[in-house]
Amino acid sequence: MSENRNLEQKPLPQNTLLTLNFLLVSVMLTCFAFIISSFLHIIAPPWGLYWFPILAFIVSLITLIARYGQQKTPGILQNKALSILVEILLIALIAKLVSLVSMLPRGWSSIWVEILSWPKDFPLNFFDLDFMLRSSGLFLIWILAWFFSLPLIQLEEDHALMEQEKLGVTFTDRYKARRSLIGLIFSLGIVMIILLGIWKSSLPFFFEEPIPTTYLVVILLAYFFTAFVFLALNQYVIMKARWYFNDIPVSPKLAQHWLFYSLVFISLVIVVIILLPTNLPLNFSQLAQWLAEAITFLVTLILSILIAPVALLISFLGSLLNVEVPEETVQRTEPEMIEMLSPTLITVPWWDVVKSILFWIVFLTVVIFAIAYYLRDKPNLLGYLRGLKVASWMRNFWQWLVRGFKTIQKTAEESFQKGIDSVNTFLRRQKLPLPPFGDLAKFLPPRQAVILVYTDWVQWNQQHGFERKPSQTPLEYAQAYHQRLPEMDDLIEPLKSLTDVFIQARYSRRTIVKAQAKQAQSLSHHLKKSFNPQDIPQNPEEGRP
Amino acid sequence: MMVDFLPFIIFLMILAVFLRAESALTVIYMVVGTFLLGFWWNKRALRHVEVTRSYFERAYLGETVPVVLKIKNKSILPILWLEIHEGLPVDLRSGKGFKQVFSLGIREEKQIGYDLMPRKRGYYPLGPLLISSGDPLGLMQPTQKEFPSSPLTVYPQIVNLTAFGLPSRSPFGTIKHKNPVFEDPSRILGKREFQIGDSLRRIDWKSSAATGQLQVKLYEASISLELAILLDLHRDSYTLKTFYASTELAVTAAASVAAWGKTHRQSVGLITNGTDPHNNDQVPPPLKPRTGAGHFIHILEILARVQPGESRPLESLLQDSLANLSWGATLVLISGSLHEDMLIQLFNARKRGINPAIIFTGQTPEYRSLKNLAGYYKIQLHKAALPTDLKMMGVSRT
Repeated sequence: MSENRNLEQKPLPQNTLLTLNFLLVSVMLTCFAFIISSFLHIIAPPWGLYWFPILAFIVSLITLIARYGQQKTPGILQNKALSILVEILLIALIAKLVSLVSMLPRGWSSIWVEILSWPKDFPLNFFDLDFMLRSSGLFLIWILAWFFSLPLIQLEEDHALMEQEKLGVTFTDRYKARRSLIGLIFSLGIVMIILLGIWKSSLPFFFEEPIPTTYLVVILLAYFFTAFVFLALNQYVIMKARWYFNDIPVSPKLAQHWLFYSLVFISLVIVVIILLPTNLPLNFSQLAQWLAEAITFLVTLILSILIAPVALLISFLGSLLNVEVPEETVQRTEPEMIEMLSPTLITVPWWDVVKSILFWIVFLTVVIFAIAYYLRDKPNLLGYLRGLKVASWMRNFWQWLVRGFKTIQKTAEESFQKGIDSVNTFLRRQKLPLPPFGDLAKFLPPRQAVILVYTDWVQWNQQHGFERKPSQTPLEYAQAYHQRLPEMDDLIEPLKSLTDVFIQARYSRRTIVKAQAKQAQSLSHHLKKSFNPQDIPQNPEEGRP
Repeated sequence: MMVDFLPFIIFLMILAVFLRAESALTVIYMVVGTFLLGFWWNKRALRHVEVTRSYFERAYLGETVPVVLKIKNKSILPILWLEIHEGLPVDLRSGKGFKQVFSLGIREEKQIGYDLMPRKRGYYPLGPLLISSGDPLGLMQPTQKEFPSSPLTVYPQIVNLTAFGLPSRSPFGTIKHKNPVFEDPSRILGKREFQIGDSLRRIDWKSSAATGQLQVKLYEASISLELAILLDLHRDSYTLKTFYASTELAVTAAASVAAWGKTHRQSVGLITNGTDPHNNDQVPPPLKPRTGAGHFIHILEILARVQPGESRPLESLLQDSLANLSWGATLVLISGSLHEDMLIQLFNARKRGINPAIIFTGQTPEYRSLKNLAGYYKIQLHKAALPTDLKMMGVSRT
């Protein structure tokens, strides 16, 4: 069998993918650096943001390339200690250079003054606050890039290593590497969120003017957008490895499609979340209180409605027996909740309440789902929790509740059914008289009147023991009628006329006038009057002369 | 997997609740939105995928069968990656099953193909085709969908008996072909010049007058020679040592005889006691002798599917077969061995006008004694232990 005619295994775009991953990590760290530097700028205003995010990008990219080079190319970079030392010195040098360049707006002389001050008191003049902050920030970025580099290199598509792995010589835990990356990404994300949260909630107390955070939220979104694209590419690498180990040929364009669809996918999510509200007026406790109040109000209202007839009856009986009902008791039936609720309802617009309710429903659903999913993934923990006494009590309580609910439901259904049955029985016993068709026919158009009269006549016959079969046409029915009552020749003409007028009304497009309707009515009346049920023989043949 | 993200989601939610920071809420929306969209994509992606398998459903042994899979995404939702795995029987493929990974765009159709090279006759299922797909972030387990298998019938090997010099219209030359009972005067096949010995009643006077030479009419055979193949595939009829080879050879012999019959426009029928996996391992009903390509293909299909079984012994099968054959029919019994009583049955049948012939395949320990006995009853008996012997069988007759 010659398989895979359509697909040819082309060399993978290893370098492109790796470069893309390095760039994405650098962008993520740049976003992180931007938020950190913005936060530091608030704490220490003299420190400017000059070039720090750009420097962070460069440092992270160089670090990632250096780590990759250390792993892949033998040579001077193989000496780790030397490499680290060189990198630290370079970062310090870059930080100092940028510090000096940042003085340019003040003129070249300020730079010279700074340089000339170093010999005097080197530690104090060289390691100034600006330099320390910048270099610390860059070291942080450098360390983070280092952390990112380790799992990233593990996920790299090295064919020689993969071939060994396929043979079972080595093993790379790609999922573990991915988990490490997820951990790093979300840890940085959480740090950024905390910083933004602190910024928004606490700092306005110290600063009179509110600080805009929208652009920082955009940076945060950019960070997560980049992170998700990065994770999507990592997933591609993992899947690619799996397919490689299973000898499954992969379309050469898959990598491009993966990147494109991932970008579309995540962009779509971003577009959706931009439209969602982020400023909720009610927190959980307020919302719970509001809901409790609303439920209490509703229950009280329903109870009032239910009790009202009883109360009226009691008061009526009381008046009959000359017992005075204290006025206070009557007044208590008014629901006090309206007054209690009114401030909340007035202050919070209904749309905000709906938004809050939706948010909290989604929130709780996600939390429950997450916990359930997590427990399902950890059967040991689930077994332990199930073994706890509290769990069994809760289970029993839940079962008791379910049983009770079912019993109530069953009783209610039975009572409801009994009620319906008794009403039906009552109605049947009453034998409510049908309205006379003759009266009804007066109000109908002539065509409908003729049809109604004929139908009424057929029904009347049916009640008097002469049934019309479903298969019988009007003419056949008339014939059968005549066969049953052969001796009554005077009925032939009205029977024929009634049938004809009915056929005309029912099956033709001829105009039916009022006179025909009246004629049909009189014919029907005549037939009914002349009809004697005792004339009907048991067997049709018996009636024949 | 989603479980990797869960601690972070929960932590983010707690942050969002306590800090009431819009940034946390935004990130929550993003993460949850990604999950939901990924979940939805994962579930919906494969719903509108349609797969059709195009190939010739019948093939001869050793022939290459091209199979084309048309995979169409009928939805406006693209499929990021689609892994397909076609399960194929071992006798049809050389390596592992057919697998491939690619992506499918909006309403995109992809055609992929592979070739099969059947190495053994049989009735094979192609498939089932298993497709799976997932979301770009790998948040959910990939979803799978299965498409049912479709059959491929591989006909048995056919040896061209005529090429090896079979002398007459009958494969074993027992019936004279000039028997007028087989000719129908109402069906004129053609005309030829008169030869000495031709009946005067055959002369076509009109054409003779037109051409100036005597012409005789040639008639079609209205009652063709009936050729019934009785294929014995009972386990007890073959020695265990060469069981597989012998039964396969018996099927090849049956197919070759049927092909010979078809080439010579003879009515060919098939009776066997093997089992048909396509028909719940039941013994296929006897195929009465008939002519035509359709009937021949039907015989080949049964021969392609039939497997050795234990449901019906040869004795009863032979009795029924002989009772249903008409006068002048040829019965070719193909088996691994035979009891002497059955030779007597065949001899009695010969006396009733049926022409029996026997082909033994595989190793038959009593071959020599059976051959002597068959010679005594004037029943032709052949033996083929290998496919080459089957070919030589025809040669030995010339």
